Amino acid sequence: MRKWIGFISVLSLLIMAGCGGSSSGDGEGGAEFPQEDIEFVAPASPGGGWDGTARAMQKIMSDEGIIEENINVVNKPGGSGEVGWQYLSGQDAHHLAINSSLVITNNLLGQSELTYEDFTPLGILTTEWISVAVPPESEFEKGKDVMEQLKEDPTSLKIGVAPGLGNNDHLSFVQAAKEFGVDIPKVEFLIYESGGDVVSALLGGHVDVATMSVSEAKEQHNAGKFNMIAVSSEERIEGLEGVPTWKEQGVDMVFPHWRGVMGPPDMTEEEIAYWDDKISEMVDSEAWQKVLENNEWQSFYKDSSESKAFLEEQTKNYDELLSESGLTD
Amino acid sequence: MIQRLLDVSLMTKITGMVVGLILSVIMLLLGIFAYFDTNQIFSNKNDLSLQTAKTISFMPSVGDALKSASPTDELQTLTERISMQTNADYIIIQNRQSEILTHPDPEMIGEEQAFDDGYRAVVFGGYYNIESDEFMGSSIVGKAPIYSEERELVGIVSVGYLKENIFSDIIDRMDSILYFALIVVVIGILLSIFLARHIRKDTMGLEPREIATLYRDRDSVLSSLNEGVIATDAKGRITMINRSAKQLVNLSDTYVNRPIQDALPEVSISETLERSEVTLNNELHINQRVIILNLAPILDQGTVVGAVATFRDKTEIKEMVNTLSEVKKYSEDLRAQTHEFANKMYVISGLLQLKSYDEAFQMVQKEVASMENNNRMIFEQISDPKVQAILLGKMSKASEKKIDFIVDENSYLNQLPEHIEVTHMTTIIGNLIDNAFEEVMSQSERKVTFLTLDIGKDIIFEISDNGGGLDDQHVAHVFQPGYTTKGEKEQRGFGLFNVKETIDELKGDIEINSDENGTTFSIFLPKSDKGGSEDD
Repeated sequence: MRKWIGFISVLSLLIMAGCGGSSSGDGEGGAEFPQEDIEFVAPASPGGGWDGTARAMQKIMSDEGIIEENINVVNKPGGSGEVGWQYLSGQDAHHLAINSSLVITNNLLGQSELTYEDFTPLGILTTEWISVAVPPESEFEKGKDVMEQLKEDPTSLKIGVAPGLGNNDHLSFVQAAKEFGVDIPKVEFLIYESGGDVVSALLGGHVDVATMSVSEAKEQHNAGKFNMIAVSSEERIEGLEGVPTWKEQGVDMVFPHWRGVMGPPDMTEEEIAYWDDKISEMVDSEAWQKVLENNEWQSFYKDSSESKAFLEEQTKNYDELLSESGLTD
Repeated sequence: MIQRLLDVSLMTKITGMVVGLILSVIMLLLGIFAYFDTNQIFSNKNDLSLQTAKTISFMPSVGDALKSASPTDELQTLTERISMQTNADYIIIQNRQSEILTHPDPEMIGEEQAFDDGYRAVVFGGYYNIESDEFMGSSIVGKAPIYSEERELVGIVSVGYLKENIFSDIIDRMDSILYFALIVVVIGILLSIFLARHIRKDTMGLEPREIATLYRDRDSVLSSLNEGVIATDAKGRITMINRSAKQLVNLSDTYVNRPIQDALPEVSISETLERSEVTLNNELHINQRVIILNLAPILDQGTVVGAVATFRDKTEIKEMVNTLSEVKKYSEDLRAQTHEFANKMYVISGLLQLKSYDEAFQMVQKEVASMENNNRMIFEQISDPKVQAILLGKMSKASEKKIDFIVDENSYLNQLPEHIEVTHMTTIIGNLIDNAFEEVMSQSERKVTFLTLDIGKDIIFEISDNGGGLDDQHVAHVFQPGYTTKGEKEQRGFGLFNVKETIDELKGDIEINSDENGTTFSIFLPKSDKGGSEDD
């Protein structure tokens, strides 16, 4: 018996030594990281915010010479990001993916097994604001008017949202509606595949109201095709001074729509440091400032460790938002 | 209280402990098992309810039915079938207006149930588990949103398992384990009774506390004995030596567990062990002592399980007997003196009646002179009162026996050193003088001479007789125990052996010169008890 215990403990020591050896081997490899082409995963079809972020990163990092290796962007649309992130979880540190609050809410709503904890947060890059828009001929001039109508009759309006319930656009609208005491379970949302589809639905008169990010609505608003009647920012947005904030309309709510990057699980310290270095360099570049300006994005940079803390805090926030029953008021 | 609980028989104690142990182990295992089993079942029910809810929500027909005019007809059949297969206690589908469309209890159909626990599903399209009692009591519920073909949220489905049913399931499972546990307890009780019986058999039915008492008593009894006791096991290995045995044959506890032959090579116990014979009063010489040994087997139901040896020091007994006979001799000597004195008084009285005053006067004069001569020798030249006393006694005895007992006029003796005691003197001088008296009895002229000298480091005694002397053969054996030149009738022969022993004890020496004209014993005793003879 004693012999066996001895044998097993020697064996387990050997196994542990073996594991230690292989992981330290990885560490040494990390010193020469990266060794091959880099890949950015946009977990959506081309044209949206995730795709835009990925392509902007690719362009700046290559053009500014921040990364010498080739950088490719791949689109993996589906399942509100699920498909792309699922793909990332099986890759190595040469692969990064763009994320947003969906990485948290998908899990909270039982639509995905993955959470940010299954990945390595590398940074939060940008945030943008969320708007509520109505057709130009609409009787509503302010967000407040929409909410009062909904309070009167929650089923009287159809509201367009993409790509699914529980994302930031939807959450911010529900949050505001809650402030007005709307019977939320009765409110009818129509769900579209992408922000572009929501714009089309609004233009085509299929929905009465739409909630979408400012960058998605700005062009049509400026063209006079529809009206933004509320934004979720702290103050009125530069260039869109005509659009009132929710705060002005008596709703104490600031709701950012942030985007960030994350890597596969189990990255080494060296790999994380490498990306912290490269991403902060990119964020500081002038080209990046231009990208932010063009897209109505705000800089919201947080490095890997700050990102982790931020995601943790956001998870708590969203869990509260999703759990609050409609009867809080 | 605890004291009283512990004060029970061995059987009760062992049974109690074993049963207590088994019960606590079973309770612990049962508790752990129940805990994990409950967790497992709850987690299973959670998964199953959510899976079922999702499956139903993904069925295109369900979304379509919710859009139709009378969805209940279509959906009730479906949910009943599915709840049969998944053992779900209820599957409830609600439309956006929170109206219940399917329910196991048909009377509930058409009722409204607010989306409190269903809020996350109906507002955010969440798929989740929740512990809820909004339908049919406390249950584990899986919730899923139902979308129409146009991706419009049209209702939610709740699949529930009632907690009371889950618990009764768990209790059912526990039942069979409890039966098994009961069997283990019964086996445990039987085994512990068997174990207790077995231990009782080994202890001959004695309780541990009785054994302890016996052991303590045996120890004090054995150590209070004057007899030496050594016990062995069936293989002849020593198991116990008592205090007297250690002193008598000079042993220590280091001999315990060693063969008795190591301690006492003279003792043979093989016969005792093999044939269970009892040996009594066997005389042995161990460490220059005479030991009287008894050997007896220790029997357990007819089988020899060991032997016990008891022994006494025979020399010690003999010494006691000798001292006693010495005292007896003195009283005889005194009687002789009295008798002699009375005889002389009769003679003087006769002479006075015959009026032969001169002769009477002469006789008294002569007696006085003889007494004075002897007494002067004894009292003036021999200062030690012990030796004086012995000589005076022997003087009277010699006078009665018509032996001419002469204390040499060159004798001189100071006080004896303290380590030479009166018993030593009576043994040495008394025995030798008595032996000399007996030797000369057959002679016509009986003469015994006593000389003592106190020179340098030694004290010398010399006792000579004019007897027939000893031949060389006798001289060689004269100090062996039991040897005697006297008749074999009496148990004698220890006199000279004792003399030799005493002289050895005082680290002295004895010499014998013997020829046809008589025998002379010369004794040399060192004055110091450290042994002065080494200088000689």
